[in-house]
Amino acid sequence: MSDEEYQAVLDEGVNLKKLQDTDETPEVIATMPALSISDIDPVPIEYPIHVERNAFKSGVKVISHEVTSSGIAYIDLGLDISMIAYEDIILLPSLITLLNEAGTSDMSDAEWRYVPIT
Amino acid sequence: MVSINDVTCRNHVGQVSGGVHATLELMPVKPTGTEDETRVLPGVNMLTMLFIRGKCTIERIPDLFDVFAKVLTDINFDDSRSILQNALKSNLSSKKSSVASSGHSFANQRIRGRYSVEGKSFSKSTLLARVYHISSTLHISRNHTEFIDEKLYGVSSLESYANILEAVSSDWSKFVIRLKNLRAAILNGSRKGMLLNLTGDRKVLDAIMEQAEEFLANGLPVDLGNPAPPPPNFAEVEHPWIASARDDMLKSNPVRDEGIVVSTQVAYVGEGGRLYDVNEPVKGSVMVVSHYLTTGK
Repeated sequence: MSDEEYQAVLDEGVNLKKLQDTDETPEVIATMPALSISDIDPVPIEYPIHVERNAFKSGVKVISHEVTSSGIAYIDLGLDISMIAYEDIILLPSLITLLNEAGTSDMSDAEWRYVPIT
Repeated sequence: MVSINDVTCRNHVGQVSGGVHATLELMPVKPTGTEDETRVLPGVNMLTMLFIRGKCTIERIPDLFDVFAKVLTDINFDDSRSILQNALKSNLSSKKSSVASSGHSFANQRIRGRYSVEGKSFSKSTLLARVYHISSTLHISRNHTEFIDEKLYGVSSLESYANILEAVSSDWSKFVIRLKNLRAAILNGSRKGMLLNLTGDRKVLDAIMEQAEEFLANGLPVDLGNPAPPPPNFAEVEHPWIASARDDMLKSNPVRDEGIVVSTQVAYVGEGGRLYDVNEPVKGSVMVVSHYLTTGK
């Protein structure tokens, strides 16, 4: 690198620093997109909710939300656990751990959760 | 043998779905007849549920229901001692390090867990760290199950999970029976307490409903004989855990000064008390004060 080139890099650095430290003119700032309070809808997004209390006369409550999901189905199944004795609730996290990590009666945890593509 | 490190392996559950997860949900509910949402609720109404959540593509819906059924009925507890031991050990060690690094959160939770078993409560806690940093928070809790959260996840849970680890290690066959009894009690419940929550496009919802009838009518819960009665409407009656939890709270976490010895570089000091009583109205300005105290601006 020649002396001139070296000096040019130094000058460029100094100029960049100066540019970064300089406030933008009001005209430039005015070009920045900005939101005002009135642009924000005070009403939160309401997702549609449909409740069927006794689906297929089974007693199960089915709650559905029609949204754009690109063909993906999101399904949550909830079971009441209020019949569990209070003394046993400390065991619930262990139960959940096994439901999430253990295998099944005919597949080991590795096979149930990790099987080779055949 | 299948190696989990093998790059050609794929999660079997993942092959038919975008993942399936079990979670425990404790959800305070608004008592029937409560119109005014700005008042402190009595904290005795809640829903307690085991949720199995999953997602999949439209053609895999029957497979996903099969996975749900297997997760609930067919998980092999007997051979899973080491899985639970490892999970408990890892949970204990990460909780210990969280207590050391975020003691203020644990102090806050412990204090909140003295005043209410569950529900909306308001407490103020001041935290003083030895680094001369003084901060203050006003905690506004809306969706917390206060004492029960402290019991299951707070600093008190360190001891209970150590006890569980001990029980798992010393007599697995006995412990497994307790787990099986829990599962049987949940599965032997009533469909009236069951909930199916669906999200997706119209055609997805229609496809789920086509598959759901068989599952809901004949799948779960299973009839193990002598099923539990349908759960009551918990917006109208007190949850059955509340009375025992209240006794437990008064006994194990009474309102008194206490010190908890943990190995940390800083001392976490919390002070707190109830700001609003049950049924007292709480104004929106409290949120502003809370934000100011928490952030200093």
